[in-house]
Amino acid sequence: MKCNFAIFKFGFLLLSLSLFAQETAKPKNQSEKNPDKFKQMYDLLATPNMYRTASGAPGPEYYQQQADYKIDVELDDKNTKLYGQETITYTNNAKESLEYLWIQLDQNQQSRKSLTPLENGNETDPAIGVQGFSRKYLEAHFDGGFNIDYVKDIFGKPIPYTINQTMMRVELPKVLKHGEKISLSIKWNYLINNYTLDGGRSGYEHFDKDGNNLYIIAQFYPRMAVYNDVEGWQNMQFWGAGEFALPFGNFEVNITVPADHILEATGNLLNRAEVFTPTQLARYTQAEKSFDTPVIVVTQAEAEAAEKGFSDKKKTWKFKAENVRDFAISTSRKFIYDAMAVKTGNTTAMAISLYPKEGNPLWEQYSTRMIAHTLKSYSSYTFDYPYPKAVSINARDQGMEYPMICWNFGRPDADGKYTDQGKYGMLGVICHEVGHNFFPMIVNSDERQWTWMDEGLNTFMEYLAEMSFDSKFPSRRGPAKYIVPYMSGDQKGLEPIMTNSESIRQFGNNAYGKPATALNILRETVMGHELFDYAFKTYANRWKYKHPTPEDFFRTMEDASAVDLDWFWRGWFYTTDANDIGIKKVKKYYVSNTPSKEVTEFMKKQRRRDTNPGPMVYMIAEGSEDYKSEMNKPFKIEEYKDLNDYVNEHFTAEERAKLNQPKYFYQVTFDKPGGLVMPIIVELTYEDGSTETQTFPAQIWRMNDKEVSRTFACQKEIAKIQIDPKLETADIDTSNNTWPKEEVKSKFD
Amino acid sequence: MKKRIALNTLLLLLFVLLTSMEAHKFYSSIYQINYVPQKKMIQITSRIFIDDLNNALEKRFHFKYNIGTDKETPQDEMAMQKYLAEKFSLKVNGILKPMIFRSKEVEANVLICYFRINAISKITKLEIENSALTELNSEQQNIIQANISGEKQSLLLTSDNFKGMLK
Repeated sequence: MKCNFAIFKFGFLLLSLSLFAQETAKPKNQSEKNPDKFKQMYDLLATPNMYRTASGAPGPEYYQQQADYKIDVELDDKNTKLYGQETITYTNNAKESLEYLWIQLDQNQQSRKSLTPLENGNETDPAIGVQGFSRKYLEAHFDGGFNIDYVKDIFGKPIPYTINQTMMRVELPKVLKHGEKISLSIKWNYLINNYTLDGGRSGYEHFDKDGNNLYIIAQFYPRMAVYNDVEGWQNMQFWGAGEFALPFGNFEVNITVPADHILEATGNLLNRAEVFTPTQLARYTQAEKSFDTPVIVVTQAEAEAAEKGFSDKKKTWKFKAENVRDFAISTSRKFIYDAMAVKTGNTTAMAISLYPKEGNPLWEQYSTRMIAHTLKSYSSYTFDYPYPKAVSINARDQGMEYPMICWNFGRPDADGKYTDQGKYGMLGVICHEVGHNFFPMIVNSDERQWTWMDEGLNTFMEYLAEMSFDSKFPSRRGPAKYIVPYMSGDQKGLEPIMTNSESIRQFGNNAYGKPATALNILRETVMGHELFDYAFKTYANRWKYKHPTPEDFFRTMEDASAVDLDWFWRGWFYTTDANDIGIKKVKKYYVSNTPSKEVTEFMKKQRRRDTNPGPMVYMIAEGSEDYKSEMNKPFKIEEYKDLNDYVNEHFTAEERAKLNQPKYFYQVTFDKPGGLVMPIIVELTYEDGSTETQTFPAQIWRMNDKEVSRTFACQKEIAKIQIDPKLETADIDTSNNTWPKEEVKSKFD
Repeated sequence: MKKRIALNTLLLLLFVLLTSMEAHKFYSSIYQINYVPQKKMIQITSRIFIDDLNNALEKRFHFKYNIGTDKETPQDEMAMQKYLAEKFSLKVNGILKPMIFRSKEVEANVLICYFRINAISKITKLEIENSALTELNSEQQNIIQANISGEKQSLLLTSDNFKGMLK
């Protein structure tokens, strides 16, 4: 009986499939290129190997290079110039020998020879202000970039080098074999840019009122490029958008600045007693014990007094940093300094903020507290924050990250007033830039190639941290609905997330917003918190202090969760497709003892007439030829003799009491104008106002990418069906999400 | 012409500033332009960061504005409309068509404005000029996403390329 019924059903399915095939098979004999959106990503991912395994973890042959630095720099505040000398000790951990080294000279992007200003088209302005005209057509470009005095070996012998834009190739006296080290020293200087005029991720801001500069110093020394199993030497130039790829190492840095400056930098300060006053030192010691309230170490009054000093004396600040990929400095007479301790799991770090008086009252209230919150939140999703401190510097219009230190915008008006927008903007940027300590400072993806790997992951973590800081935080990136305006645009104007950093048109939406949203959707809708969080934590721990690739991320997220996400990565990261799922039609069905004409015809055509399919009931669609108004009543098993007999025969009274008792049947046909495959989240609202949500996994689209039907057997009549009621799938057109169709009140009428 | 002079007095070294893509703060607005033939209507939705918009208004009118915040006054809305009318214009089939402001709402830190243009029975050519906020930051991108009778097109307008044509 059961078997025959199955055969009959299968026959019916074949019939409907063949009908469908006739409808769609227009171009005959066309070869099929497997358009399956669920096919595995062998065509897109690099082949796993001994360096990087198929599980997404570092393999047995994984290696990375080490670059250790001893640096002495001196700031000439009057001439805004930096002088430096360094010794780099480079260790080749690769099995192969190296014939030369590549060193990055990122400051050269500010040089008059830089190609960056030439890489964009521009139109002639029909009208232009005189200042703009002068700067555009009359004045010379800022004279930045490194002036290299020498490159020498440890015996003082000059080493030949070649500079190609932002990269310098250093010729080795003999090949550097596996496990060997080489030390070389470089002397240089450069003119520091006023970033408020000339742009840049570092430089200085000048305060006209008091004549002081606030320096944010980075990319200030010739830095080793990454050499690894994926890129060889990372020899993509620094054009401006793709940030940095740097090996890990240890730093000892002595920084000489005017004696009245207050300074912070990457690493532990070794000579605090020499650079702080005894009072400041005592306050700092107090801050190290304060876990809930920041302690003011350098007061506003002290900073205001220092502003007027312009000391001719010098002071040297000595820092040591271990296992960092970079080093940055901020220094000014204008700095107020506050700090507190923060416990991040089993580690303790100092949260430190430096800001000019122009940043108050905002900064004193919020910056250090936001650092502490950020470190705690990120640590809970990744690993206990391993560095001894995290510093937030207030720098106009900036938002830029370095190990243990970052620059953040946000100042109140001159009268000390600020709006909520201003406050949340500042909190958001601090959270984001401090968060970068995790991605990419520790989980060290290649920023030069893939902006999304650090910005996307970091923006996602930022969203989680902001939500736990203040549930009303106006986070712009993370919630699915906010990416809709971007993803609904003309696809010719978009590019996939998997696009090199320099070729992204809408940087913020593509490299920050979309990947952050994709991860949020994975966590909230596709995987669930538990599976997602475990896998994400696995990725962070596998790759901390290492150089992961996109593949390592994709693979780990699947490997640690047993959720096949190839369809998700393929759609969201490798295409510009958007999600749009709609309700095409809804048909109500009634159970009948007599077959519809369609079924009768089909049975007649059956070749093996002798096969008795056994007793049956028939489903009649409302409004069809065979539909009769008396059918319109709730379904009851007792009214269908054959079915009732079957039930009575097969189940005990106790079992019968546990059977489902559906009363109404609906066939809902979903269509998918969007290119992405996504789960279908269906909210049914019944006549009595109660609701029920059913979610069908994205795999429901694997056999037919255009449409799919589901039958809902319900206790109550359905009044309304809505897809994605909570707007969690970034559906770009919600006008087809509801049945019966609702006229959405137009904002334009 | 006058408006472009105001705009350009503040334009700094564009070709240098193009290099300073910052890690967090992005200067981009999205303008969706939909043509609905059944209603003979062009519907325009703008999404602009509230802090940038207030800064632009202050720079333009030398007065502190608080649009999109709880301190907003009716003057703020008028200033915003005046400002956008100066910076953002549509020429439909070669004729400049003023946009009628309908309403606005706040979503996170973004101000969404709804505009429409009535009585458009056909679009053969749509010229768009949009230099809003480019006087504040030369990195500002004004992204135009058009859907004209179901056909999607887009433009990326910047201080260097502030106008474009569709169809």
